[in-house]
Amino acid sequence: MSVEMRSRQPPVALELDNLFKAYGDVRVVHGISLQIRQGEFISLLGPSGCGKSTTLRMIAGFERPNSGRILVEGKDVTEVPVHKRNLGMVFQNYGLFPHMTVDDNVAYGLKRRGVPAAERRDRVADALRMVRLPDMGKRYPKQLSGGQQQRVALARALVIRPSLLLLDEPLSSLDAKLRVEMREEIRELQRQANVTTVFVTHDQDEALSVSDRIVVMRAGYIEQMDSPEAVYSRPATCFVADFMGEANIVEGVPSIDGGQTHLVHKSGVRLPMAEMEAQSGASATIGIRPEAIRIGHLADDSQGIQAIVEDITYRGAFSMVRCRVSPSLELRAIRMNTSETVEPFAVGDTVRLAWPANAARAI
Amino acid sequence: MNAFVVNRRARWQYLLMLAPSVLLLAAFFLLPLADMFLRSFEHFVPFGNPPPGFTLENYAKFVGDSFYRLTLGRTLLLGATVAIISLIVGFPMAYAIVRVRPGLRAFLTVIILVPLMTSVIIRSYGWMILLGEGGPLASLLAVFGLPRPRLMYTFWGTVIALVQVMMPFMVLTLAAAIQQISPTLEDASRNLGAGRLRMFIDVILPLSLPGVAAGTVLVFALSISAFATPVLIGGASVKVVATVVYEQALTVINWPFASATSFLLMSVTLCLALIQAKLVAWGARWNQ
Repeated sequence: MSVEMRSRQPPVALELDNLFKAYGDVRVVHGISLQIRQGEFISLLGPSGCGKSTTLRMIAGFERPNSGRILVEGKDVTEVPVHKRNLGMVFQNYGLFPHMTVDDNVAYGLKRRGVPAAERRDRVADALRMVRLPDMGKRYPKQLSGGQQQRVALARALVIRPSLLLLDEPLSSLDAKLRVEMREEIRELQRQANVTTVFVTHDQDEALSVSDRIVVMRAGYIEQMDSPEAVYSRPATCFVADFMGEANIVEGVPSIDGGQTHLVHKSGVRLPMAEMEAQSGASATIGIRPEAIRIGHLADDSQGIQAIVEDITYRGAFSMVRCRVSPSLELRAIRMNTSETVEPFAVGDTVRLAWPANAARAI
Repeated sequence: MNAFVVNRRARWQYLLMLAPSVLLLAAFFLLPLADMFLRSFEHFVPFGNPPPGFTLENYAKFVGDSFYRLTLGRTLLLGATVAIISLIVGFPMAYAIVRVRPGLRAFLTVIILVPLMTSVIIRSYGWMILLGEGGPLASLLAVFGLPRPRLMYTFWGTVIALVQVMMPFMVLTLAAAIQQISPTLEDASRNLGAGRLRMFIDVILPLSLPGVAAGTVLVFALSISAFATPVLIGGASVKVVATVVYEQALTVINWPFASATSFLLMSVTLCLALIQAKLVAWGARWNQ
């Protein structure tokens, strides 16, 4: 990257510097370091217990790191108490004050900052218009639907013009359809407000669809930090490959013959794979996404490897087909359920599986 | 079988389950209470059968006599003082019980409940030793060169002992209310710029008001009807309505007057309970 380009990058809005957190003997976060630029939308993604929520709560100031620093807009806030950090947060169960009207909920942060009443009214009205709830100000949270409550929570977090927007699994208490709508709405609001955002989720779908970058975490460590495309198609570890949707993970020994690299599975099956720099002879692991695998009838072509269909699971837009290549090797492939699909095969049929060598990368 | 029949059968089962306690209450509480109520309108004839007819003279006697009015005033003041002090002392304890980790919570709850396992009489004797002229409290204050306070047979001595008796009721009632407040609300308040004290005023206090009202009224009602503690700690100088009832019923054997006095005391409690219910409903109007 040229110096010219680097200078055009937005400034760093949040920096975590080697953050550690333990509860007694239980270590939850092991030395997390990352930098987030102004306006970026970052997801902390991982299974429960991976330390993502604890990391977010340390950024917010609810938890104190055992060591390490947190810098917001260049200032060290590690020792700054929660209420002086100026961060907007949206909680899993909304966290709206049930005894206050929507207006009072949204105005709360402004009141605590001593914003005069007239300005407060205008900003509250603007914020509610922004989340498309302009006429709900006089209602109490209980009188709103889950989606509406979540939008009020967003308005309340954004109205204070926070340095960072922190989202703690904000969609997990909504039903599936609303969840997809809301994540798009959150992304849209985030772009409008150009607010740096840290989004905690355990749902890879959510993370893939809204993030500029995804931080995949496991057991307190960062496994991979990259763009959604990179995390999905070039997973750094088996865990990432497996966590980011389905993946066929195969171990074997790479061998190069005639310009084509193959992974030789212990059963002797040769799987085409992308070129890799490692010396042949050493073992390697590759990941192949099921959707990268083409599945066809035996007679159709001579390419690919032979397998027997063991199971077909209908999933609506596609079916997941589990194929047995050898007694010790199983591959899953996706068959799209379009109306043009005129090659039905059933459990027990012999099929051929093929994929571009580039789709099978070493992890 | 349609839903209606199922429903009706279920209702029958519920009534059946309620029956033992309803019968017990009716036989040993409501009937005697009704009997007492009627008796409070009888004429008083020492050692004789009352003449027929209803009279309001028992109520008139209580209201008309400044001694009884003063006693009632002292009783209400005692109840209010105990309720307020219990609230102030009990709130932090209730909050702590709810917010500590579960193991510690169980331990604290037991600590709070233990006094209930000892008779009020025994505890009052304990307080008599503690508060007495040569007691540990007086000795401790003397060590620091402070004057020995007179607590035995005083209003404040009675308050101290009653607060200790009432603490479990207050703390458990408050804890039940605070339990309902999600910690997320505290986080949200602090995240939006409130320090801990401000968060308490904005979130914990308003949301625990139903518990505050319930606990205060409960402790007030229990305090104004308390008998053993005022008698043993307060003695003759802290005469309360319950002592009047006791004397009238068992020493003077004036049952009509004792009944009327009891009902006056009970009506105070009932009025308060009604006001409390209205207040709580109003305070929680956002909940509907």
